[in-house]
Amino acid sequence: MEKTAVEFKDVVKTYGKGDGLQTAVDHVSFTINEGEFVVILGRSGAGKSTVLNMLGGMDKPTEGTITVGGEEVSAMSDKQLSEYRADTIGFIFQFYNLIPGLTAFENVALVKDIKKDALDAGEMLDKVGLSNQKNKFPAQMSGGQQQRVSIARALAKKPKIILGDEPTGALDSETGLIVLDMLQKLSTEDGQTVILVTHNADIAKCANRVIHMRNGKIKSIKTNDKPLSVHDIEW
Amino acid sequence: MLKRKMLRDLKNNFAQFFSIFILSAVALWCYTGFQANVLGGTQAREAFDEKSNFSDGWLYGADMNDSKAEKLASVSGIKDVQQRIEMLGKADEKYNSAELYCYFQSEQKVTKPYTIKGADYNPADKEGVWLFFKFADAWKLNIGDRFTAHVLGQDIDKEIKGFVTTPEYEFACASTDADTDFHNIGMAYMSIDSLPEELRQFNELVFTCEGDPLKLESDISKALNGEYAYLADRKSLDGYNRLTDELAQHDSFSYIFSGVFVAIAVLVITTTMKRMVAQQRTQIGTLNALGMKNGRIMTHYLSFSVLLSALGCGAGIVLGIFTFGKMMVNMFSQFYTVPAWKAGYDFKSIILSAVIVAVCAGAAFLSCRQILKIHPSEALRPAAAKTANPCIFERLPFWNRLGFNARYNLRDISRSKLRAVMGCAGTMLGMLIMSLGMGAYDTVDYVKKWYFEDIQNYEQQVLFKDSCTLSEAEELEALIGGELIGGDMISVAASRHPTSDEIVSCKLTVTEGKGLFRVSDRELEVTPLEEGTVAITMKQADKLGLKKGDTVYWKSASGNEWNENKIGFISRHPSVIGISMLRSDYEKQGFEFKPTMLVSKNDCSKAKSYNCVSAVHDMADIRAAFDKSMEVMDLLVYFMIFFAALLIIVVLYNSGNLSFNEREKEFATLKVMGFKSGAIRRLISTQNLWLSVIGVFLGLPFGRMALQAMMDSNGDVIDWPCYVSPLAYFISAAFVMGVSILVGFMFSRRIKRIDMVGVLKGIE
Repeated sequence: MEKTAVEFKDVVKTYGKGDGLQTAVDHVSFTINEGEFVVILGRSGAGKSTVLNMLGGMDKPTEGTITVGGEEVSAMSDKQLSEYRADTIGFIFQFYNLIPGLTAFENVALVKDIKKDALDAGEMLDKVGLSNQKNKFPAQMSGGQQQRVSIARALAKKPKIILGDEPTGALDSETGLIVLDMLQKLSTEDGQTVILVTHNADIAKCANRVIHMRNGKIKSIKTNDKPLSVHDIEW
Repeated sequence: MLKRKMLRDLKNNFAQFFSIFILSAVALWCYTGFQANVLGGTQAREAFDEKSNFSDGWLYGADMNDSKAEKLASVSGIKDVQQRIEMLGKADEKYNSAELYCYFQSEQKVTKPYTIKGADYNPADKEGVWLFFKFADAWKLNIGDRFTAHVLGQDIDKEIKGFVTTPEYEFACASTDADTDFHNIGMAYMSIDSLPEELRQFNELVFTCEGDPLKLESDISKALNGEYAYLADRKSLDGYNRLTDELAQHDSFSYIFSGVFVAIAVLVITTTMKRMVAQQRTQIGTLNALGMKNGRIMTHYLSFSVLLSALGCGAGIVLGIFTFGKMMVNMFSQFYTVPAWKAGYDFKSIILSAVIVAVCAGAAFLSCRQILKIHPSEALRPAAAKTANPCIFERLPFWNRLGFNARYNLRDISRSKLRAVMGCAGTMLGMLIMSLGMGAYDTVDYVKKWYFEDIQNYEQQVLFKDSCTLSEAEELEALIGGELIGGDMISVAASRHPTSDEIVSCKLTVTEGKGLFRVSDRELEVTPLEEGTVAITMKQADKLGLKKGDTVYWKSASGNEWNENKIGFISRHPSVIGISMLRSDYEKQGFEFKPTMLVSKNDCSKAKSYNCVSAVHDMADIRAAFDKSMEVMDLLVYFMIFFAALLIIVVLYNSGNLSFNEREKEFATLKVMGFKSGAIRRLISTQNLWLSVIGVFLGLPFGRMALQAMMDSNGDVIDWPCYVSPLAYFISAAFVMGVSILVGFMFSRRIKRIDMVGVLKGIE
């Protein structure tokens, strides 16, 4: 039986108050199983990044509950959330968010400062094919290379879930495919739960399930019985 | 890894971080420098006083015999008592017949000579003489040489056994000199047995006591049945007083001057740390998103400010002690004789450092906490631009006619008030110190003119010996022409029966009113003394609550009767305090006029041959001596100007740098729109220039006020009115504006190199 990794139950997220109240996520409920490769699809302002941020413990829901691995993330204190982010989540950002003052190797090795049993930074860079770039600073690398360092950094934590917020959004199509391939393999070969947010419908073709959002609500949740390989999609 | 990040961040933001370092360093440099001299001097003095068991009181009289010494010792509060003969003699002609203060003792308990070289003073050794080491140095005398002292009608020839000094000679100047020349002033200690038996009559009792010796005077007088001439305390020693006042002055300087620096440093450091942390908002958000604990992130950012400010403070302390402090001590050592005077330091520098470090850490803590408070998802996004509300300047009637540059900068100032205030305040304080330093120069010239042209309206000065009679002085006056001046040490009060706290010790100056030795009023205007009235110096009048028309009470140091006179006007003098009155009034009150000098516009060289004359001085020599005594002040002024210049450069560059970093995205947008680099540079320069102009105008009055506060801290004896010339203001302002413009040009290259794509994408 498939084990539930993530459960969103009637989650609402609002910003502002009074006349300026805006609902970013409106009563959203879904579950994601362990080892799934899920894409949350939607246009700009659909609420998909907000969902990802709440799932990543970087934001708190206004209403509803979010449960990850049986633990209620939405009820966690800031300190617990910090530990949750360190132990459970590997986050990949659209603009990589590497520390500019650290080399590729040091950016990955930084994880050791956060999690004692983090994986070896050299091995992680090798895994993303960047062992020859390890002494370069972010500013000396291409966008694709920086994103791969970001993936290596996320993997080094041995996270239960990998979250990607438009991880290919800042990359050209060729580099984007390389990054995407890497993420798909994490799911298919390593059994890692991967959740990506994107507005690109083609990327959704590679996912096991696609959660389509519009105006803060879930429009549809579709299951791909035969997800395409990254190399088969046209971008 | 975070340590590496910190080091690289330091390297990449060198200018900002260096400004924190340098400002912390300058604040401590300045404070510790001044304090090094004061503390070193005070510590050396205390050690010197203790080692020599320096007397607290001097009791003079014709025959201070054993019985009187015993009676004095029996007074409650008196600790050690010792008899001695103190007599002014002279050295041989081959030593310029230098003034030689001779001390003959049978024991040494109080004011023991401190040995610089050779054997310790031994009052039982009647074959030896112990000389003042500075006099011996000046004449290249050696231990073992023979030396003759001419005193009490005796030619006492002895072998030099040692070179010594005492706290009584911390400052020494011959009465014939306008400035210290150790060729002309000496001191010799000998055994009482060096004198023939009939001359072995002590004229002085020196003693140590608990508290103020003058407060024991009634008990002393009772014990000795009033059989003594007068009692003096340490304050009556001009040299000792002079050093005390100067150290107190530098103590005040250290607080006033470094207080300004600390204020600027704190202001700039706080703003810089706040901006620096804000600039790393996305990185803080990333670290937080990765799961790094808030405490860890906080520690990382606190370590920047703590490290830099602590290093700066440490460097400042070291520089203060070993550069500024050492130079001050060296300079002072030329004027004052205090053994083992070294640059000192105390825990207050550490406390001040701790305050600066705490303020820096506090600024970083508050900024970092502000970012950590928001959700990581929000912190990951660059901060939203500040809301652009209509600014107050838009209400100006000519707003619509202003160009883009002016409007842009006015709105920017309105949106970034803290940065604008920091720029203004930094420039204002820089201007304050710059005009203070330049003003100190002007003030010296101003006082010089006041003293040497307005008050001293003469060219030559003939000093009389103590033995000079009135008829001898008048004979010389008739021969040369001029005005006789007399004086005495007096006590002044506002009532006939004052308590000891209501009495001021000062000088009485008696003139003939011929307009050569003049008196100036509160506004520094030369004002003639009116018959039947006296003039009293401003600080003393203020202290006693006296004003024009009131009655002032005074008595001479050796007298008991209080005399009264009406105050004609309140006078001012740069260095002499007390009462000025006409000879005719003085004589009418039954006093015998005893001239101490003759001042004249004529050539007085012929007076040198008169027996009653001790020295003839030309005003040029006196001016030169005054200039030499101002060398310490010159050094202070150089340091003030140096620190002020450094401060202005750091503050303006830092302000420009912060401003540039904050607006980099706007500049990148303007560049994309087609603005040329020159136009963008002008945007930066314009704002810098505006803020500098405001700062300059705000700083103008405060410079003079701070200078006056420094001068007023010199004690009651010194009354120096401050003057800051228009030229000093102009030079100070020009420097500030020049730096402001230069800083604008320094950003030209950075504007040219803006990475438009990177900046606009928000990539750090």
